[in-house]
Amino acid sequence: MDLSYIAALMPALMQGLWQTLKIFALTLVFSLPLGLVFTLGSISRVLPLRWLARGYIWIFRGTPLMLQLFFVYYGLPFLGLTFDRFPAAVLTFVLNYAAYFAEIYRGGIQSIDRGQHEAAKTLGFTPWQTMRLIIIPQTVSRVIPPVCNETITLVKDTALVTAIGVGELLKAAQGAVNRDVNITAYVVAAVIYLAITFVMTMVYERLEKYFSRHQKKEA
Amino acid sequence: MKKTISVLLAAALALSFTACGGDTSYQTASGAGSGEPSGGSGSQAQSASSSAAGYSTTLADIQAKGELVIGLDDTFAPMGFRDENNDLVGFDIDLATAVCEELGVKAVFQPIDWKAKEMELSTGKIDCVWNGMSITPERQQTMSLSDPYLNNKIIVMTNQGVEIADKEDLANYKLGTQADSSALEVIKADSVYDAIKDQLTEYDTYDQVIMDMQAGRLDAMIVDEVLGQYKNTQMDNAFGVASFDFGDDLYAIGFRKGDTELTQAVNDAIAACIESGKAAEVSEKWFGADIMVQ
Repeated sequence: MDLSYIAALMPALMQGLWQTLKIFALTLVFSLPLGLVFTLGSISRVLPLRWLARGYIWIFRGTPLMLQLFFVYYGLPFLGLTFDRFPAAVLTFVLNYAAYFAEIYRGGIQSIDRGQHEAAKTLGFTPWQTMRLIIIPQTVSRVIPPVCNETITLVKDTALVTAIGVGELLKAAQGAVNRDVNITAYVVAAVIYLAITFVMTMVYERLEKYFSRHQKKEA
Repeated sequence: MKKTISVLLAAALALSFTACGGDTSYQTASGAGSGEPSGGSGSQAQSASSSAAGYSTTLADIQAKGELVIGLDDTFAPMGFRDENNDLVGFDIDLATAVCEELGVKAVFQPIDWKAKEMELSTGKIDCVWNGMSITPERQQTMSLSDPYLNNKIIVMTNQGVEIADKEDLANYKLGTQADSSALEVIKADSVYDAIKDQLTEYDTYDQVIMDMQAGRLDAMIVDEVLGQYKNTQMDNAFGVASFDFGDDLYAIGFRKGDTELTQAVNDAIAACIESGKAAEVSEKWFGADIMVQ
């Protein structure tokens, strides 16, 4: 492998990487909280809310992300909603990942013993106080490993945005392979993806330690 | 909800339209002579989109907004691709820039996914597809095509140590080509297709075909000359070229079905570029010869 060739590949790959990171970061920032909204909806005792949230999760987990991209970008203009390429890509990713995060959070919340809800009730906590002050803080450390899993999937899913003409890392590598008839760019792209997921894994490990610090003391 | 379903259906139709580019329906359509597609999914997607959105663009529209939005696959060397500084270069880039100068507008290049080009056009995201696109009967049905501008043909490139005598001999070798490509359409229309179809593998891109050639799993690839020769030059001419070919494969620019006035304006502008010698200059730069259709 020729180092000067790899150096020549870097400007294009770095521009692709920047796009990948932007989509990744924006998706996380919006879908992590949005997921919680759908979780609370899906366990709500208000039936229409519950059906709405569960229907949403069903649709976004039940159809391919690629199809959702096509639908948002090419289909919504028929309903009078036209987005540019990049916002369309981010919007689709946020909506899709929120559905997955919602189910991860629900798993975490429902893993907390029912008795705690009853105990909180006898102490005079409202259901919302119970959720906010007692249940959710305990679920954070439990949901971090599956959220980390999903985040790593997200890093790799960003490559799908080329379907609606948004550039990213893998596309940049494909361009170089196409131009030079040399697969080095794929290898470099793989190393970059691995570096990102390595950093993500580290960050989540730290977070997991931090959020489970009280449980450690009790044990 | 009903509206949502109909939009989903339109999207699905459009998808199926792009997915089965090699569909044989166009043959019955062109065989009928009336130019009426006989129930091909393409015509349904077209009508669904034009009735809902109804984009149409004239030369006056283009000149009013001051730009022609050109959809292209920016990973298609040597027609349109990124150089090492990530700048868009290529034969079609230079030609389109010259033609837009002639029209008095700016050329805006919009990278798209090649499989989605029909949807990009019908939803008005781009004004034309200009990216080494071959004329096929199917595209003649669904787009308004410019006059052919570049001479090209479908050739057979052979791996090291492989000698193929003639078309019939192809049946004895492992062959590859790109799915949804003009090469594949031409092969399918050829009488030799039945004999070679079991030997023929379709790939997403020609880059994958080349990789499989290099891995030794393929004996030959069927590709258009402009693309094949460019790749071969990048590989120090590792592949050979068979002495026979599958005939002409002419490139054209695709516009929305109804935009015939804009198509004609671009035809005239290309003619003007040929007249002025500008087109020959661009062709010399990229192919070392003038291969423009005169």
